Amino acid sequence: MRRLLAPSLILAATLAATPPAGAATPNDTLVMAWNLDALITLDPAQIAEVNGNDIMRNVCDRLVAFDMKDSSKLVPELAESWSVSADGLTLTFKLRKDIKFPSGKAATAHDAVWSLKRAIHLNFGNAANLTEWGFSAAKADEQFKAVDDHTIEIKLDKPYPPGLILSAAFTANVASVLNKETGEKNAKTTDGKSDYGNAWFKTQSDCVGPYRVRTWNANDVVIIEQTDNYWGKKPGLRRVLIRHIPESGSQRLALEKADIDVARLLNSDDLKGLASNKDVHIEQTLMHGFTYLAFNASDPILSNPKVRLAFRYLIDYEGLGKTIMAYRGAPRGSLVPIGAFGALDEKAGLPFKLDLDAAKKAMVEGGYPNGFQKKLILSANTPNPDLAQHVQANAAKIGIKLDLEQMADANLFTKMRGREFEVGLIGWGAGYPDAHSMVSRHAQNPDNRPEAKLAQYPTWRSAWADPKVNEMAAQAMMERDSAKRIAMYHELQKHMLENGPMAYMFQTIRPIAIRKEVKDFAIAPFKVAYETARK
Amino acid sequence: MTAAIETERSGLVGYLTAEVSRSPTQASLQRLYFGCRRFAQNPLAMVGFFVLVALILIAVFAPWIAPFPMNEQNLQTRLLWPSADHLFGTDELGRDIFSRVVYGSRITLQITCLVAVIAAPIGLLVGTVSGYFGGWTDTIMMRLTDVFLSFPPLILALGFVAALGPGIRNAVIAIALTVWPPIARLARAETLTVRSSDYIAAIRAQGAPAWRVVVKHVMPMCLSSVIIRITLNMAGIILTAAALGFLGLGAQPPMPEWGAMLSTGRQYLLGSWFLAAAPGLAIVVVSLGFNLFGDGLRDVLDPRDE
Repeated sequence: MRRLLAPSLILAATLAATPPAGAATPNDTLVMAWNLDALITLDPAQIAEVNGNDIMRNVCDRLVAFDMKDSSKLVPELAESWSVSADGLTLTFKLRKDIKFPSGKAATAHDAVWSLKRAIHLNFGNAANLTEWGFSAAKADEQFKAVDDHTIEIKLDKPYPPGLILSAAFTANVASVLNKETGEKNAKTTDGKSDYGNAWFKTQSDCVGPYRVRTWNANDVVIIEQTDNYWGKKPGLRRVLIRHIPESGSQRLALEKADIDVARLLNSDDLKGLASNKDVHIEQTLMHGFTYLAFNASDPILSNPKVRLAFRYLIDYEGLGKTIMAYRGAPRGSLVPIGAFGALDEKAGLPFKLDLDAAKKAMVEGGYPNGFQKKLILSANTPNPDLAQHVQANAAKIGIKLDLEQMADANLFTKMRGREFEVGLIGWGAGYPDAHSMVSRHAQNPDNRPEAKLAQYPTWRSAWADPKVNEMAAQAMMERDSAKRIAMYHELQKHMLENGPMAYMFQTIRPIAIRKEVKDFAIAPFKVAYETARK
Repeated sequence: MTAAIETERSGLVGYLTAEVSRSPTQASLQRLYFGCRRFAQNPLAMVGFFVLVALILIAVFAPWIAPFPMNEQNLQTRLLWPSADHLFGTDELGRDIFSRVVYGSRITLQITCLVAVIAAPIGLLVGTVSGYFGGWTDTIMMRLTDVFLSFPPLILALGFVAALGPGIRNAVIAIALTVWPPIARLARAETLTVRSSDYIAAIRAQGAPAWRVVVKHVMPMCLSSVIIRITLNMAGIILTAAALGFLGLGAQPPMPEWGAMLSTGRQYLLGSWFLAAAPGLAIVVVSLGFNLFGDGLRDVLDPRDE
């Protein structure tokens, strides 16, 4: 009875209409406000959006994790160690011996292998984390093997640099260790195909980790609470309650009134308003994502690298960074984000600034001294219209007439994926902190033919391919000497700065506003660790 | 009594107030004159009238009234509070909001006029033809009208804009498509009352073709109620245009369309309320003006109220 009563009281206290005064969140609970609109699944093999990823990284541990202090370093999590064979084709994980599922049942290599194969067989978008590295449904049984209860042997098709494949594949959601027994018990078979418990895992959890999913009411609340048989340190707070509050203004008010501890969706204006509030501090994290202008190189004018170069001089990196993009983005011109392996430093990565003379010069060199007219498509969400209008105003000064067309995100993505644009303002997030994550999509283009339909490659969307860049990227990816690899990526980035089909504007910043009662809330680009928070 | 003396005045006023008019021109001028006098006696209608005159003047003389170019950006002076330099403050890109509101009046006026010019003739034609001919023509045309009427106007406009693509021209077309059906209904009702009148029978007996009867003798009878209707609709048109702009489907940036400005201003509501307040106020004032003006016009033109 007590076990039931306590959570329901807490629920009532936090979810009920805001009491007039003296609201405070329970001492053992972290209350976080977010927009949960996009949350459609909690199955680690299926998660494709920010909320689910953020939550499940706290619910399910991974084989390998990023160092919370430095995301370009890897640390053991469920795997206590790993080794690579001399030929580089076999990767062996040694699992911890003390890992248990919340029920108390020991988690073994068999569960881990089942979870990996499951992701490949289910073949949601996430499976790409594995299939990109040569893993496939047909060969999965040979590629993933549980040698004994604590050893996993993985066969690779090429000798990839270990750091690269570990961070790209084995830190991802697909590298969670789910309970095979639960999955098989709840599996549903339709048309002879098993769903590997997908229907069950969509709303519940049974994996090794500090928390488990307790409740999820769509567009209302997600509650996770600590598990009993966790191998690691007990979470500082028993429970995390994530409330769906989709407006920035409401989140700000709730945070100021102490109805919530953490606000995840605040716009620049509200953050600026909160900056002077002593009860709140704002944690800004530089994410591995970008806002950028993409040019369609199948357009005769935009295929000219000098023209694209001119656009880079039309962006007021500094002015926008301090105003419109405050708390939202840091100026960045190079395609590899700061914090990733192989990134150019801040200065070398931003050789451009607002310079109308340089832009004009590039236009003259490109053969368009009198400018031209193009259409720029963009999302109607802030701050995109502001950014676009700013570029438009600067472009007008050197004779480029840009017509803006705002649209819903879904339309924008469809148009860009179909190459139906001239200039587009859009965003991209890298999956792991290695230069290859961006380079493989934003520099390499395996097949530029229109019928190839490589819509997941922004280079293909821009109808841009450069055999020399493809070659450089392929070599850099396979280089096993770190110093050499870094040098190769630097060279590639410098080449792309001048010639690439995108003008990168800002590296995404994730602002999180936290009340002062909450301490030790650890935040890194790829993980927001609820478990470290305490009050 | 002074009134008795005044009945015999000469000159223009005498011409306009004469008890017996001597020519058709004098008769129509007299009607106009008395109409204007009745309109002028209604203070609210005059308020509406002055708002419209002000709107037109502001739109025409925008470059002279606005202290700054509408798209001049300056990130150093963004989100400034209202002051002597910037009457309504500056927006998120440092543009003067007062100048933008002033230029925005051009867009609003342009949209409303274009919609009226497109929708009124369509509605009038469909309504009169349908009412005059009756039978199958009537059934088909009125069911078509019903189809349009069965959707809420904003939803219908949204649908059309989504299909045609965002932009001012498409917004005008979309709004016009939602405005004509009620006008057609009205014109049909008016037509039904006049089609069996003696004068129509007389014209037909003289051998006038149907189109001539409709255009020359039915349409003029419907005109006054259509004008009233479209004037009263203007407020709705402005609001629909603003709503489309608000949703990013109307005028595209950087055009200072009021609805779009309001939508941007919403992001800054807690810190800089004037971003939303200035265009919002402009929308309220202008749509109120059109409503008052339309009401006054109905009092004058609608004979049933006498």
